[in-house]
Amino acid sequence: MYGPVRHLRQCLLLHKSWKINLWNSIQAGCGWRKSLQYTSRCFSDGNECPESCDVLVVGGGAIGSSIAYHLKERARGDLSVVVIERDTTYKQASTVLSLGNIRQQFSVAENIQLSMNSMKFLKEVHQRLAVEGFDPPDLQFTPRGYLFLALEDYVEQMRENFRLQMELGAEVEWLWPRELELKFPWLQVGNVAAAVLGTNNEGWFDPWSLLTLLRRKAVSLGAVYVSGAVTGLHHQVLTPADHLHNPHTTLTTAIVRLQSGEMKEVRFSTVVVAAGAWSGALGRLAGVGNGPGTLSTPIPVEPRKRYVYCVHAPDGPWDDCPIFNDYTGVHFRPERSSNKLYLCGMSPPECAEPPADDLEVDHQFFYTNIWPVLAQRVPAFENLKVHSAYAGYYDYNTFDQNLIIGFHPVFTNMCIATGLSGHGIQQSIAVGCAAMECILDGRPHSINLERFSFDRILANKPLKEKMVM
Amino acid sequence: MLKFLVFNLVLMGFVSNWSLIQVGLSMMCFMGLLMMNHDFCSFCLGYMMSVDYLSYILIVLSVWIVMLMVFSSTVVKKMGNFCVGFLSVNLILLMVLVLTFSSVNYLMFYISFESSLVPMLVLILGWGYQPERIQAGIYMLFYTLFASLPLLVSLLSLYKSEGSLNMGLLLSGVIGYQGTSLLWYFCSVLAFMVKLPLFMFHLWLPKAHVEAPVAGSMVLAGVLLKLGGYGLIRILGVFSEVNKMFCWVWVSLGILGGVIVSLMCLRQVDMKSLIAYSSVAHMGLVLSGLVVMGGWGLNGAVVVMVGHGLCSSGLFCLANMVYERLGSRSLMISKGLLNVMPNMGLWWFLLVAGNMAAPPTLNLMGEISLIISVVSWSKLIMFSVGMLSFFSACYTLYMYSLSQHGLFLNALFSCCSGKVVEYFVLLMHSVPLNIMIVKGSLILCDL
Repeated sequence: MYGPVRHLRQCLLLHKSWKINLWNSIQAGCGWRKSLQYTSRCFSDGNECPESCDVLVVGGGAIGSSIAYHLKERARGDLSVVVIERDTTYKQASTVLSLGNIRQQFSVAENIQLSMNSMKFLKEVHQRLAVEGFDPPDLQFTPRGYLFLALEDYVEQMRENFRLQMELGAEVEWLWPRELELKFPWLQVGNVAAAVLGTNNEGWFDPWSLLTLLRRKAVSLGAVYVSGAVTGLHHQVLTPADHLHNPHTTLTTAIVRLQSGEMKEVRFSTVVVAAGAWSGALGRLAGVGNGPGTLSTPIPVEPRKRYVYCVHAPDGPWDDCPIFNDYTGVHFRPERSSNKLYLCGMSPPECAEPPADDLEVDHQFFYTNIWPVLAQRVPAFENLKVHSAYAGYYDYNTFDQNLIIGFHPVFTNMCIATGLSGHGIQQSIAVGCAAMECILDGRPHSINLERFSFDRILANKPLKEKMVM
Repeated sequence: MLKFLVFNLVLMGFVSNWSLIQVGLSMMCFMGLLMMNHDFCSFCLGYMMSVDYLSYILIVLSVWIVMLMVFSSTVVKKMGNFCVGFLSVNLILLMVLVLTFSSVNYLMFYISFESSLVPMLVLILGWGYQPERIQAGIYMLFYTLFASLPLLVSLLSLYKSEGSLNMGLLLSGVIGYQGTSLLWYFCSVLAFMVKLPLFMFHLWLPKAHVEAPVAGSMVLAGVLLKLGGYGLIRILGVFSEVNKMFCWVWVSLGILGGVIVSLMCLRQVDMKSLIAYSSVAHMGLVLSGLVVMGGWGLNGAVVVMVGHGLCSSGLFCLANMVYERLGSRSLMISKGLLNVMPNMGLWWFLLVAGNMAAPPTLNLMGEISLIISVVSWSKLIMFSVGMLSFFSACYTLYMYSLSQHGLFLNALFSCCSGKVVEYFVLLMHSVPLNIMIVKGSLILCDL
């Protein structure tokens, strides 16, 4: 009966009511071992940092938590997983500032599969992520299709994308201008030559809920979340006995600065780079990007600021309004929980990228770039008013704006899972699963993500999305 | 015994020089092996000390294992992690072990037996890796101490009733098998049952083995468990009447406990934990062979003790080599090692073959003798012993296959397939294990 006694002692040390804890201990002693682990975990405050672990996940956002969840789900107590997150309020994390949209309309097959797998998981989230003692999971998912528009020149490309999506099982519908007018009378079709609308498995959900659910479930399964920032990554060089082989470098320890200011060393076997927009900087700490040979190529992920404007349009389209994407890059969607509020934004062209030092919003950007396009497409938006605005970071992959997944060729125990550049939250579940398969099985096998490995950056073979962002 | 003890004490003076200690310990091994003649029933006589064939074998095993411990702890030297303290603790432990095996007075045996716990605890607490080692140290200390205090009382009563605690002079033993004799018997053997460890008292072993550094695990598996077996051999002769009535308890717990623990081995994910549980299974069989008081059993027990000492110690070395390179002992991550360290595959296989008593290892000879002795005591036990052997092969092959075969994590690279010192350590483990079967008389006793 050692377990319940320890549980009781922990509770007493934290000054909680001893009667409740005695009852909990008895329950825990007779009950499932799972619930004992979970209740004792709940009392950890993020300031305890284990000295060693098997897998160290740097970054506790959607991707990091998804990786921790998948690892723990498969390995349970057999693997020790530590997640290091420097900001438990997630003020600047891309996860919570994102719109939470999910779509199946991509032009790269792997992206379509990643989103489809994630959607499948999100449909079962109330079973998969349920933790006893807490409210049942609810992502507030609103099903709506994505609508992509194309001009005459791009119809061929769109056709190809459409064919690929249909082949992989995505439920999408092709709309010629006539059908578009009939379906969406509030839309000014103009010179749009074709459009694709998603009919199922698309929509939006609350990213903060997803993050909380993943984190809670991972913690209940035994993952340890540490509030701290990684300030250094040490490596060891293993020299083979014969001089025919090159010395081999592996990362061994991470220096973590906890929130209390204390510095701690964590030994690990595998490190996962899931730091989102700051993955490039994390790579540099390890030496990826400032070393000789292969190490001179950094992880090409950097923070890019994107604005989200919340506008109020009293005459705007409401029922059946899809998540609208214009060919210029402007997008909007209704905000379901309110009345006639829409969230809109736009990815600026490369030359006009706003500085990413802070999350200050440039309101002029809206009036110059977004409003004209909106007003032209949807006449009802002419008299909209900006209600509020905020900014968030994309973990922007400067190479080809797509996922980088897999182990680094030199630091063979560093798994990279980042670079999703704006479609991270929707693919987070499947990316977590892929990273778990990388670590435990050698390579992602649910979806063949060979083309998304780090090697493509070294070989200079970008895999960009065509037409859609 | 002065040759070992004085050598040891002199080496303790040169503890600041790591290489000198390595060479010195190797010389001690050589010297020990040179005089392993088994010429006399009892030799190296001294005050309270004398050695017979069994003691001498175990003394040589101790020196051998301690030498290999120092060779495999190169990480302590590289990190500069209190090298002087480390070597001192190892040498003190060796001295205490030599004293234990060469003592002919029960009380001196008891004192040295208890003293070996202190350097062991220091080793676990000082050079272990994880915070759980505190709990592991406490478990080991208190399990052993709690069980061996009755032994002290029993030895003192033995002194009062017989007038001497000399091992050679207590030939009449304790007469009767009821009442006081019963209590006396259980008090005496409990300490060794916990040390061996027997199935129901084995909880300290997986903890201590996993949390100890490689040197600690090697000496625990290699020699300290044999202290229990050795103690049993010495003390069972005094209680032969009572033992005949109650050996069924120990045989059942040993064999059936061994089967249960073998099944638990199949569920382990930590390599060291798997090897630790396999030690419990092996020692269960050893115990069964010993308590049935047969000649085959005694010989088999000694042979398995030596063989298991070499084999488990070697496997712990290998597990540590994996841990040094990959940073994790979990079999979920350290897989496909044949891709990473192909040369180590040879040593893995040789030692794994030893663990499952495959020919031509020493363990085969021992296990055959033990099976013969246990089956001669009761034919019904054939089923359990068969299951024990079968599952022992199961979990051993499981460990080998899971760690070696399969796809490694990522690209094809070869990570430092083995330094010379590592090959040396593993060679010194495997060669005696595989070759000694040819000259079994080195460790067998002609009764």
